[in-house]
This record gives sequence, C-alpha cells and structure tokens, in this order.
Amino acid sequence: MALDDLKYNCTRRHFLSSMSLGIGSAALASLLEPSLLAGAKAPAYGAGQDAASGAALGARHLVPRAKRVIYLFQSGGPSQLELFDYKPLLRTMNGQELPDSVRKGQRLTGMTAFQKSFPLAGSQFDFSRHGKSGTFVSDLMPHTARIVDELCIVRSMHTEAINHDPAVTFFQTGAQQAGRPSIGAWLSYGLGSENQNLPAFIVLLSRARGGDQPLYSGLWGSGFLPSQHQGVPFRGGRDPVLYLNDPDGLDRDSRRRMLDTLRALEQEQHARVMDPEIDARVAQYEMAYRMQTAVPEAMDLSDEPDAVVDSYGPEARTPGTFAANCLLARRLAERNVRFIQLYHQGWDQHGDLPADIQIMTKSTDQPSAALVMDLKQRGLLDDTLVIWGGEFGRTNSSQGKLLRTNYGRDHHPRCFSIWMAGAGVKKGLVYGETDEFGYNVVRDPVHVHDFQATLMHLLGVDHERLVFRHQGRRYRLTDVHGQVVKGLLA
Amino acid sequence: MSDPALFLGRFHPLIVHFPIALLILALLLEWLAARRRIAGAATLAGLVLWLGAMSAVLSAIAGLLLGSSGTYAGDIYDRHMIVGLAVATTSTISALMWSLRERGPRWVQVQRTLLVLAVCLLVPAGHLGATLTHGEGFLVEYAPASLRSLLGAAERPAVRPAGPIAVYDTLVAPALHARCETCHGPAKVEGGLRLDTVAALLKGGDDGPVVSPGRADASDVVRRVLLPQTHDDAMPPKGHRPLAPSEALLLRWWIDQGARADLMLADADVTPEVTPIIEAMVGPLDRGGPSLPSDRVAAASKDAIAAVTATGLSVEPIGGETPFLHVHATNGPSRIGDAALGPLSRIAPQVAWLDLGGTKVTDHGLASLAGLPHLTRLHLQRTAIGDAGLAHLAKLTHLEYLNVYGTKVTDEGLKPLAGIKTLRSIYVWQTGVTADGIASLKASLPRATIERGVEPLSK
Repeated sequence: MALDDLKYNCTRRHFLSSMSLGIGSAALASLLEPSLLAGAKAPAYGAGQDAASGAALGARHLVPRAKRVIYLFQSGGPSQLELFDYKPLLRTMNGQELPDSVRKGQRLTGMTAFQKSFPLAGSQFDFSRHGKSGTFVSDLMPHTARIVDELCIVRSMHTEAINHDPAVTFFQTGAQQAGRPSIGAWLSYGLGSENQNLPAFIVLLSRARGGDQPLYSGLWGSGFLPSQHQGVPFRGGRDPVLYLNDPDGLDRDSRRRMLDTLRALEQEQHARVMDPEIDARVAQYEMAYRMQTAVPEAMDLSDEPDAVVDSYGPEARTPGTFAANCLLARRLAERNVRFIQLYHQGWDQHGDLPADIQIMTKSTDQPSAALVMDLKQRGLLDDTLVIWGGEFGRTNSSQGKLLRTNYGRDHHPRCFSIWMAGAGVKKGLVYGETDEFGYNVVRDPVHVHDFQATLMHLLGVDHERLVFRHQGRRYRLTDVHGQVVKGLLA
Repeated sequence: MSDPALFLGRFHPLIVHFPIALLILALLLEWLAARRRIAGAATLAGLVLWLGAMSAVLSAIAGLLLGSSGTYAGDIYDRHMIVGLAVATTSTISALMWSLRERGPRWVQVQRTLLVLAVCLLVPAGHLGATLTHGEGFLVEYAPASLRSLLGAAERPAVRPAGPIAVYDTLVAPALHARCETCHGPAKVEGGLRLDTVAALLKGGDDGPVVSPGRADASDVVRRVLLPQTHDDAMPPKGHRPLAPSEALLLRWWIDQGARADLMLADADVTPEVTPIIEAMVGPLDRGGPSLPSDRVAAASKDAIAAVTATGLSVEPIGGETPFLHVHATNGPSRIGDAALGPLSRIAPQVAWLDLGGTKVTDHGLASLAGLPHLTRLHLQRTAIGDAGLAHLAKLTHLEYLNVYGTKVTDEGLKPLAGIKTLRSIYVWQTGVTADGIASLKASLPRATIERGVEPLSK
C-alpha cells in the first residue's frame, strides 16, 4: 500500500479538491476586480487614446520639470581631455609615464594590453575661459563655449564598461548585457505619448566618419516591454519611415477600412489568446496610420526661416547629417515628442586623434549650440532636457606612439564629461571634478545609473517606482542602483 | 514626587522681593534719620534693616535650596549666587552693627557704609536673578533702537538675510530663541533640556530625546508645542505666550527634513504648506521652474474633464500627488478655437499649465482665461492674439511663464503684465516687442527674464 501511495503523489481526491478551489478563487477574482485578469492600464484623460498606448503610470510621482528629452548621444567615446576637461598638467608632463599611483590597476582593453609604456599625452588644443561662470572649454568647440552659461557640465561621470557595445547598452538600458528596454521605451511605457500622431520615442542617426563603431537597434529597443514602445528611427531623405506611405493605388479611406477590419480580426484573436503583442500590433498599425500625415509635416522644412536653418550650420540642409537631425529634433520637440534620441558616430579616436576629432567637432559643435538656443528662444528650453555625451571617456596616456603632432587615446571608463541643459538643470554649473591627471574622479562622482535616475526624476518619475514584472522579478531602468543627483537640479 | 528642598526653594522668587524693598527702605530711612527730617526715623530704620537682613538670609537659604535642583547652570547662576549671598552677608552685618551703634560714631559709619554696599549689590543680584528667570535681553528687547545700542544689546538680525539661507538659523531658531530659551537655554536648563542649539536639541533632556530627525510626529518637542495651553504638558507652559501656528509648522517641517543644522533653503524640499510662511519671512522663493500654487484645491470631476476633452484639448494630471492639471492642444491644434476655452471654466481651480500654442484662439478667447486663478504656465505662441488679449491676463496673480513668440504682441501688450509679480520667464521672439518695451517691463519685474530671441549663430 505504501508503495502505491508513493506512485500517486497526489490522490485524485486531492487533485480535484485543490483544483476546484483554485478555479473558484480565480472566478471570484474576476467578479470582484476584472482588470486584474485583463491587465488593463490606467488611462490618461486623452482625447481618443486607445488602451494599448495609454501610460502605465496614471499620474507622475513628482511634479515634472521636463516634458521632453533630446539626447544627443555621441557614439565612440568623445575625448573629454580635448573638449571639456582642462588638464594642463598633461602638457607639462607630456611624454612621461602614467604613474601607477594614478592608474591604480585599471584594466586595459585588448588593444593596449600589449603596450609597454603609457606616455601621458597633453592635448594639442587650447582651452579658454568662457561665459559668466568662467568655465574652461576647448577651442575646438567655440559655439558650445559661447552658450556655456546655459549648460551644466558634468565632469565626474564614470562607468564600469570598457568597450563600446556594452557601454552604450549600459547607458541606454541600465545593464551591459543586451535585452532590456531603453530609456525612451521606459518613458513611452510609463508616461505614454503626448502627441498621438507621432511615436513617443524617435531615433535619428548620423555619422561624420565612416568605419567607426556600429550601433545596434537593440539600443532603442523595447526589451521585454510591449513592443509598441520601441524607438522608431527616422531616416534622412524622402522616406523618413520606410513603408509608411500607402502604395500606389491605395488611398487613405481604403487604408482606414482595411485597418478597421484588421482591428476587428485582431480583437477576436486577442479575446481568445490574450497576447499583449496583439494589442501592440494594433497600436502600431494605428500609429502608422496617424504618422502618414504627421511625419511628412514634421519633416518638411519649407516653413523654416533661412536664418534659423543657417544657424545650425552649413550641413543643416543635407538630410542625414547631425545638423539636419538637430533641426528635426527641434521640430519634433515642438510637436511634444517625448524622447528624441540622436546618435552621432565617429568619436572613437584610437589613433589620429588631432585630425579626426576636428572632423567630429566641426559636425557637432554648431548644431548642438544652435539647438539649445533655438529651443530657448521658443520658450521650449524651460521644459526640454538636452543631453550631450558619449558612453565613456578617453585615456590621458597615448595609445600607440606618442608623436609631436599625433597621438591616440584608448577607452577610459573612470571619468568622462557630458553636458546637460534645460529643464530643471542648474545653469552655468560645472559639477564634479577629476584629478589633475584627468584619470580619476575626486569629487561628486555621477554613475550612469545616477544619471538615469536624475533623468527620470526630471521627468517626474521616481526611478524606483517605474517597474515592470518580467521573469518573476521587477525590473526598472536603474536595475537596483542609482541615486538622483540633487546637486545638479535647479 | 515630593522634594522638600525644591518645594521650599521655589519660594525664593517670592521671598526675595522682601529684602529688595526692605533694604532700600532701610537706606532711605537712614538717610532721613541722618537729616533728622522725620521723627522716629532712626528707630524705624533699625527695625526695617533687621527685617530686611533676616528676609535676605531666608531668601538666600531658599535660593540655595532652589539652586540645588541643578536646573540652573552657567556663570549667570554662579554670579547671582555670589552676589546674592554677599547681599545677605553685608545686610546682616549692617543690622548687627546697628544694634551696637552706641559704641561710637565709627560703628555708625561702617554700619551705614555696609548698608549702602548691600543696596548696591542688590541691583546686580536682582538683575542677574531676573536674567535667570526671563532670559538675557529681557529689559532691552523692546527698547527704542538708540537706547538699545547705548545699552550694548545685540542688533536684531535682519529679516531678509542676503545669500544662501540656512533653514535652522533663519527660520527655526528665532522662534525657539524667543519662546523657549528663557527656560531651556544657557542660563536655565529646565528638565536638563537646552533648546538653543541643534546639538542640544538632538541631545534631549532628562526625559530622553525630544527630536526624532525625519519624524516630526514622533518628536516630543512638536507634540508639546502643539498641545492646547490648558494641557499640563503644553510648552511653553501656561502663562507664557505659545508658539505661533506658523512657528510650530516650520519647526515640524524642519524636523521632517532631518533636523540638520547645515540644511540650506535651496536644498530643502519646500512643501506647499510651509511655502507661504517662508515667503513671508524671506521673500518670494526662487523656484526657478515649473511650479504649482500652494493653495489647497479639490480634484476636478470626471465630467468636467470629459467636457474639456470633448473640445479636442487634452488634459493630463501634472502629478506629484497634486490635483492640478496640464491642458494642452498638441493633438489637433487647428481644431481649437475660442469656443474650446469655454468648458475650461469647469476645471478653473485645477488648471495650472495651459498650452494653446499654434491654435486658433484670439484676443476674444483670452477673456475666459482670466477666470483661471491658478494658472502658472501659459503658452500662446504662434496664435492670432495681440495686445488686447494680454490685457485680460493681468488678473493671473500666479503666472510665472508666458510664451507669446510669433504673435502680433507689441510693447503696449506688455504693459498689463507689469503687475504680475510672480512672472519669471516671458518669451517675445518674432513679435513687435522692442528693446524699450522689454526694458520698461524689466523695470517693474526685475526678477523676470524676457527672451527676445538669439542672434542667429554664425560661424
């Protein structure tokens, strides 16, 4: 008898009684709180919003300072020692070995691991004081220097990642391993889209030099969040979004009838299967329909005064350049797109730094400054957060041979600089400090997670409370880290 | 609990009035006796002197018993004790010598000198005793300024200090100093508790800590100052003026913020309930960004919001657990005209941010905006409004941000805005506004930035 009991670990009696109890509780729950089973989200009081695109947070946790973010991401790792962090000691000690007391055993990348010496390389570019704050900015960025009183330069950023893809992924998703949602996706999920005719998260790509570090679409992906929250890349040129327009022979009314029928079919399927991705598909079809009119209108520069376009620099009329993208970013900000991300590739100066960095700054300096001032004169800078920066910094010692006119720099995660401007950020402030070698942070370090927490805070979101349950645990952008940097906030 | 020493000692403030009056009277009578003005003055002088001396001794005994409780500390107490004992000693010797005055004129002289000495010592002893009870500066606190500087009292600190404001020093300490320090300060330490520095506050007294940093509701000091005066535990005790409600609120807010001595106002989280109090003390707070009125407002009803969204406007809660709303026309601005502004009156108390940029509203429609009392941000860029419309905005007393770029506004239109003292940012790019108009508006609103547009940056 005992052996029989072992075979039947669960007697029929037990099985039937516990199953009926379970089903009974589920039935009771469905009567008391139907939304528990349906997974509905709290709707915003929008006009004509469908549930699938509503915001997960009914109302923000805090009073927001910013309504939108324009993130000018400089991919490749811009050299802070040539741009924002003035270190005259490096010129004085040019050619001397980097002391071990400064390096403190920082791991090297595969590229410099074989290097026998690490000669300090002073910057070949001069720095001067600018603005009422007297901040040192490199002569490579005269336009940015002119608006330095609007900026908050953070010199004490630091990260753990030492190579590009993990580092950019870390910045965008909060982890070095791919698969998590990006900042824009979190914001789209949490706050929804203010403008129903445009996606909440738009990505604009550009490059100034070919052959530099690539970018992956996972960087603006939605990870485990419903996929309608992914970033939508807008290409330069005639067709910003591929296959957005109706094919020849199909007019808008036909498209509308087709979409209505499709929606009815999807709803039937959803009732049977309850897969949230079905909702996402419907939402994206509808969004595409609305984008058919909104996107051409947003991308059409014919109503822009020449003076404004010219202020963004000579490349502003060439689609697909950083300048053109900045102008577009301003137009999208005017249309209340929540997260506009620009990627500009080409900053990975392992060698030939003096020549190549000038190409980079020529393509970014004027448009970035023009963007900030254009937003300011339209009264948009008050509630728009503009961020400029890369995934890590560069070493103070030369990679490869240090020549009189040439040097390169390797990746350096321990300190780098970014700037922020606009909503809720202190103006004319330099936050944080690095040592005289430009190697370690000595005051007010800001980790990538702290930066993300602060960004969320400015948008009115408590980074610890915007969570999504996946694979049995709650995930958030800052994972289990991150502190809001109050010293930056106005 | 019964403590006979303390019970008797507490009669000291009662008894001490007798030697004060009697010894001065004794001196007066001695003087009259010497001048032979009043008959019998000599005998009376002796009697009064004896009474004065004995009451001084009794008073000294009571004083010593009172001092034994340990409530009093510091050099004021020591000096009062020494001088008080000196008064008792000299007056007693003087009284003894009066009985022996027949021994000769020298004895009379010494006796009179000692009496004069006793009365002279009476003055500082009395003053020090009063300082122990009422606190320093009690006499000069309300003296006219000229007299005050003559008497060397400390200058009253200016109400509006320049530069960064320390929360404790400027907002909390004055109330504690005025209401609590007499009994809980350097001179007198009731219950072993001092309330004159942050360190002392945090240390607490004989009954334990009185401040739980971060939790004002669990702090005894807050509990006691908020009790009604009739309650036994109320502080300051009955007969003393209690803390004003605003002072108690600030104390409570400061404790909730962590009860730190180094907290600066710029870093503090100024809640809506303390904002008007702080602003009354130090002037308008520079919030420098999207802010909300501090008035308490009920949440808007769903029907009212539905009426507004039916016109094509979008309504979102601003967040931060406030009932205020953000109304904007992002979705279909061309559909929004003056008619859409009508339903806004149903959510008038809740609308704080209103974005009508690019819509079809006109000057006529702006008249209904005057009925939105809590509006802090108003966007009217790229609309058909003009100067006439801006006149309607003069009643918006909370307005901080106004954007009219790309409209027909001229210098005339800016004039009604001069009365809105809360304005911080005004955007007038691509309008008819000139540098003169901006200058005259800035003269009335020195803290506002008026953005005229940037010169296009050229290489």
